[in-house]
Amino acid sequence: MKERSTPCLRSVDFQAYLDGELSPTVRADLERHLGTCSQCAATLAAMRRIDGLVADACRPGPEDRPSPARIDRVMSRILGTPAGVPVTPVSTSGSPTFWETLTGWLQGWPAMAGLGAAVLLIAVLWVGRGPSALPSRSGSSVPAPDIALAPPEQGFRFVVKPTSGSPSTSREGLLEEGQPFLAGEAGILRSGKRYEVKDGAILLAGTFSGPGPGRTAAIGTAPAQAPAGSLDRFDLDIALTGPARFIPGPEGLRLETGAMVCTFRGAHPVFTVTTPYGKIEALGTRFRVEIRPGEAIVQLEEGRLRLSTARDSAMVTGRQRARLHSSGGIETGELGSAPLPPRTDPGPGSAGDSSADSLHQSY
Amino acid sequence: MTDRQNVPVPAEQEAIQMVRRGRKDAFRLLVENHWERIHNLLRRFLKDPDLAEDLCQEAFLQAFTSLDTFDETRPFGPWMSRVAVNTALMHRRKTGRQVVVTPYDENEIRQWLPGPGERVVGAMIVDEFLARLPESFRLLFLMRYALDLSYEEMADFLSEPVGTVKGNLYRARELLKQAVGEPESRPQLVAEGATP
Repeated sequence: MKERSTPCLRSVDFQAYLDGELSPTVRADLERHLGTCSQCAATLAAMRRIDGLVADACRPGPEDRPSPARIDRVMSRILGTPAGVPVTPVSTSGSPTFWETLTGWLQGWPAMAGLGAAVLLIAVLWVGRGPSALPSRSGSSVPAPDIALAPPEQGFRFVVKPTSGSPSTSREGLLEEGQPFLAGEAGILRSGKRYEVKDGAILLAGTFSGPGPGRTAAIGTAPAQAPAGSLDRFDLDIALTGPARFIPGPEGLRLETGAMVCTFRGAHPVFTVTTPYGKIEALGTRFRVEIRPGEAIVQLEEGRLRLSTARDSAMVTGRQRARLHSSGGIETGELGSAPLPPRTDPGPGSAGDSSADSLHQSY
Repeated sequence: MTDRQNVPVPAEQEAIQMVRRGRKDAFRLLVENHWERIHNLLRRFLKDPDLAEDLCQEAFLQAFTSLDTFDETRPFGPWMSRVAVNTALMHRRKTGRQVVVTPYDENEIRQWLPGPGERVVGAMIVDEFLARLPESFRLLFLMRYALDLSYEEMADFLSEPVGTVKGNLYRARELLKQAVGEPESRPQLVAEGATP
């Protein structure tokens, strides 16, 4: 049996070190010590092993996955609808109409019933403009459009938002090949490869040729080190929230599940977000896309978007929201009074056409 | 998202604003985003899949009805975790089972540890270890590893001093280390216990 030596006094800090509870100064000091004390390095390695086992044992399993039926049960109770009735559209017939959505918004202002009635009247007049303004939502499902994928050597840089002051092993999810990623870590997402964000947020960063030393620092990668490839044409940030599945491509991103907020920082070519229900082409903008069963919800804060499905298309400008239905229909309407969250870095971004005079322009 | 993330998720922030304006359906995003983590927490804590399912629903319902008290400048995850833990603890109280962290009693834990003949390896033993722990200690592990809470947050959750939480977590880990086996003392476990 190996003879045990007296533990180094520094080993008392190891639990706090692994738990991310040490101050940056003490942490740095301990890390320096670890470089010179093999006994401590071995002890810490053993503790890390145990820590990893517990972390593995505490991860969510397949039985924890949020199936639509489970979510529907909760939402049924919240909405006060009978259990078993889908509360979020899973097909075109189950989707709330724009009218229902509008009345839903108005439910939030019971004290403003009079104003609500006036708004409703305006809405009636607007909806009454006919099918050209609000395309019919009946029809067969549209096969998901696809995007051409770049050669695998082309990549999309990413950074994982730190979850605390110091980088630590994140339990947010897995990236490439099931490898755990580190908070604050930057790397390359390969074009054409599917990634999953189980939870939390991951920030994808486009090229930073436009400047901002802070932005370069934010991704931890010098622009010169960025791989050559068509994805570098874009100057934008994309924050994805999970659970999400996405595939970067040379024209943009294919978003299969989850939600994303996209913010452009400057002039750029058309960036395309492909969803199972249609395509969103960004023409200088800040917008959000969320994939739901049977539909993609698009919320535009500024700029311009071109939306298209197999049987419809629309241009939205300014603060608007839109639904892309599995039936191929597109509905648009003004964004509610709540703005999208403010930018963390305004940058020199393009404001685009912020006028909201056109609720739905077919082209 | 881990609970130590102290920045709100923009999409969730927006969903909360929509719920507050009467769009109840916007709460769905929050359920979808947090169900897995909350269900995992309750399933492991309660060791009863059906009860975990029920209380998970209850927790989200409770969160929805209490949303007015939530500070939307903060991330939703930690608050939701707190609601879930409180829902579970409330259920235990209703059923006459209190979950008390202190006083720490090592013997109490030892009796739950697998005996030598029961020892398995790797992650399996940790599962076993967690399942056999008294609820209070299991909750500590879950708060640390499943919710990624800081010592201070755990102490706040449990209304205990930080030192108590830290000490109990340390001792529980020491016991786990013994159960799993340290590489130098249990070489046979080094090979068998390696996780993929």
